[in-house]
Amino acid sequence: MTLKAAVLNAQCSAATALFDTASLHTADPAGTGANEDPAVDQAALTWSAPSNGVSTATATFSDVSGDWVAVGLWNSSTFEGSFPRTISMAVADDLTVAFQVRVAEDA
Amino acid sequence: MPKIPGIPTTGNRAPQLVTGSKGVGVLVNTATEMTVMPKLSASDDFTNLSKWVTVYGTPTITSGMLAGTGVVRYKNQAFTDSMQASGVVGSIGTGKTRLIICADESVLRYYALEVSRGLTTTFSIIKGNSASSVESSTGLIGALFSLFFSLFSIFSESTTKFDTTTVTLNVSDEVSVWYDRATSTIRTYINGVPTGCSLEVERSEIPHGPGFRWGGVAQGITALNPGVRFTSYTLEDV
Repeated sequence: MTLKAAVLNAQCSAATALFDTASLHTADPAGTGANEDPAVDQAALTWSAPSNGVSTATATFSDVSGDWVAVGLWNSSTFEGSFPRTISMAVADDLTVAFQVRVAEDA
Repeated sequence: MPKIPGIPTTGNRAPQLVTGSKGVGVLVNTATEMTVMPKLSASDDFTNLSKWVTVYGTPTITSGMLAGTGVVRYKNQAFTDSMQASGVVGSIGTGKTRLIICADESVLRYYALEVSRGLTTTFSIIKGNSASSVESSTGLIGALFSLFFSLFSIFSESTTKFDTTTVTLNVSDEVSVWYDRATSTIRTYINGVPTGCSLEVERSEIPHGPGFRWGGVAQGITALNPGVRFTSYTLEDV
């Protein structure tokens, strides 16, 4: 069975709709979004239209410095989860976090 | 993998009900992957050297440009091996300047674009083996410099140069060097346009990965000659 791209795209859109902002965390966010860096504003995510089950978005944290251990994902004010990432910036610069969601038929 | 309730990651299966050829329901499994990649987008306009670590020599800021003689390393490291450094040309003097990428923290091993100005302007790919890779000039003054420098063991020529290409370079041009990780090739650009100067390198000839993603500039490589000076610098993951 081969799924049409439209099916994969629909599932991809359903997934990306869960996330509209990203955050940076100085320690484990656990299941609640804890330890979010108060000095860094959350960054908005704008997802691309899915193509062949793939959609991308970027979050830009402007002029930030610090050390972080996780990137959090939010749906409005609801914490949806996090990815562990060690990020260190000694001096203030722009940090972009690139996201990709890919839905594929599981062989 | 992350704890994302709505996103089953690889290995988790989300059955998808579709209609088969005879109208019979068929369950097809799909897998959803999510990747998250931090990318650096750093910049400096050489108002001062607060964003730089002096690795060697006495670099200075002159008229909003990096000047003097020395090697500086940017304080933020790229997040991927596929890093690109760029500099906007503020002045073009006789001498050599290097844009450094893929360096270790001490800038002992690295790749670089060397911009050399003599009768013509050339680009070369440099493989560096020491931060003190600065040449001395010839003649009496050069000999004195060499003596001075050798006394302190700070100037030792330990680079190899490849693929020298003549280019046309003007003030305000942006020169760039990128380590194309996918093909393990050092590529160079002027205003985003590829030059003829590029070099495929062995993936393992210098270390890569975290700790080996620093960028820098070597200024005033040839004693008494300023070389190209940059008014701004960017370092980014591509």
